[in-house]
Amino acid sequence: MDCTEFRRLQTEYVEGTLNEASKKEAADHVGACEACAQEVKAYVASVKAMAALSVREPPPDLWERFQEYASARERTERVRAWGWVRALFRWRFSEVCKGIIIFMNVTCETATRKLQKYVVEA
Amino acid sequence: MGDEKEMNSNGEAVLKSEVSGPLAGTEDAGLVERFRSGDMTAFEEIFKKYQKPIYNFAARMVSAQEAADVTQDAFYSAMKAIETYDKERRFSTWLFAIAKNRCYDILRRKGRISFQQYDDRSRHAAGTGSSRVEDALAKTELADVVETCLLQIAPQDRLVILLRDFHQFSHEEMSEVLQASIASVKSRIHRARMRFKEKIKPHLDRIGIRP
Repeated sequence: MDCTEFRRLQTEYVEGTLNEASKKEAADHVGACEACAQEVKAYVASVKAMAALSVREPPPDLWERFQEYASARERTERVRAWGWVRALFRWRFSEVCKGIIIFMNVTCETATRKLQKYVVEA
Repeated sequence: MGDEKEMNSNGEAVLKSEVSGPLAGTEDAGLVERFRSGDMTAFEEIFKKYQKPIYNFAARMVSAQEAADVTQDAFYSAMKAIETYDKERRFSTWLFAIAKNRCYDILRRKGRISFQQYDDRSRHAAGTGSSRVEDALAKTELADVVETCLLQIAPQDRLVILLRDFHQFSHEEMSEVLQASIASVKSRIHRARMRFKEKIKPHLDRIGIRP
């Protein structure tokens, strides 16, 4: 096994997941190659260093904060969803108002004409 | 240092048992079923069970300041998507996958992540990185050095290292979070550890871990 091949298998070698034959070849290589032996030591040390990370405690009121957050998000999403309905309704409403005004105009004009005709005939 | 290790080993035990204890799968399935049928207390139990691992994951992936926001966002997304959760899958890995996506969203939004350009930027910023490591060393805090070195590697490498070496996920669990094959997970662990090793190697002796 050469250095390139060993470094490709380094993780499996350290984790002990290599098969027996490869494990022996890798061990022989580490025994004979100072550079790879140093690499393995540094590799193991860097993995061990991760154990230095401490566990952080989340804020004690995180559940309460989450409930507020979820309510606010739901409100926002509901408003967004109803926005379309409202816009549609607003459009329809204005159209209906326009229709009523036009209808009243026409009706008033017709009534005025009828009244004028009646007055003239009288 | 002794205290650090003791604190950590306690912490690790908490994280590991909370995330993937032997009964976790069955318990989670029951809680999810209860929540699906409208029992909000079941979701509260889920939240309280997983808030610490998710918070710790987010604190290292993004930042301690944003960890609470990411945790809330991840749980909200999980709550909304609970109907799509496949019971055959581990709940913990499903939740971590959501948290991972939320972290990536934040990193992208803040321009701190560009998967293609990260290596170039990282190399370019090597000088600044070293000075940050020096600052951490000045505090002689091993944990700070590790965290600083973690922040210097690409987020996708950081993710792999955190899942494997901090949260102690198995290859199978990682393959579920990363949506990748076991072989791909193994090679990603290898690459990520090699990159992390390169960052921390110059400081190992000085921070008391002898290679």
